[in-house]
Amino acid sequence: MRVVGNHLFDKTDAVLEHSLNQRLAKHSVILSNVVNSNTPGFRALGYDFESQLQSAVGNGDSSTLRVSQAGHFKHPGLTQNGDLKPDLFVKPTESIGSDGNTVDVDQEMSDMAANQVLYRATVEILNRKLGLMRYGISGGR
Amino acid sequence: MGFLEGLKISSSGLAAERVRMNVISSNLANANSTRTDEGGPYRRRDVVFTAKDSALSFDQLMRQAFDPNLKEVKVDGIVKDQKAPRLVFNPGHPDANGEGYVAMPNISVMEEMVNLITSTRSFEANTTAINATKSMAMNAITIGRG
Repeated sequence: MRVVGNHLFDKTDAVLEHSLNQRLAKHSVILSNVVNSNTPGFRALGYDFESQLQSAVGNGDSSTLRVSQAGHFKHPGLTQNGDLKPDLFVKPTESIGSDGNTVDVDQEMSDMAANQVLYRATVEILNRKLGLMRYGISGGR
Repeated sequence: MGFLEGLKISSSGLAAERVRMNVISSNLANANSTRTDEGGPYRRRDVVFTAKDSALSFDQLMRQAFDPNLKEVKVDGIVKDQKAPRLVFNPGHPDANGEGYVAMPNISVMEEMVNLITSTRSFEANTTAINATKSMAMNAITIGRG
């Protein structure tokens, strides 16, 4: 998973594609939390990729650091070979009930809704971009 | 990790909640049963949920053996509540003991109703989640459609 583009499909497309994949992964993590909302002792998981994606994209080409030597400083949110590294972690919340379960269903459902809206928005942007390209191909007809 | 895995996770929740609802129905239906096959009054049943690794293929199973993450829910078993039966004074009852007390099932109807509502809400949360997954998938197939 490297955020790079070629001439036809540029960096924006690469970012959108990664964004879609990461949103789907986040969706799955939320599903896993919702489904275990009644499992005693289950600890809710969190998934964070936004800041990593942001630092992977950088502000321009020059700001993206590629680690070529083991001794190099690592860019935050990237692995050694420049891949995007999302963060899957156990949420540090305390148990609400007495069974050790830390899932807050309301929180998870609203996270899911937000994630879904952003997913649809990403698809929309991708479609607009492809539409623009099609417009260009057809010579504006 | 794809849409199918998401659907699989959510449907495990639906199945588990359905089992729980059936158990609660059984408890409510038998709230006054004083006779059972094993003798004595009916004992309250409870389901035990456990989080189980979600995996579709061998590849995923391998990966999760080293990096465990997403969990499905699974009904681990149905256990009997070990609470003592409720003794009700009713000397005319055929199952009354020497002092005229009948051992009634250890079921609180209120408790069962509360559990039923919790279960229904979880079921709804999971159906909402399935719909969300589905709409994302449907949305994804419109990519590139003119």
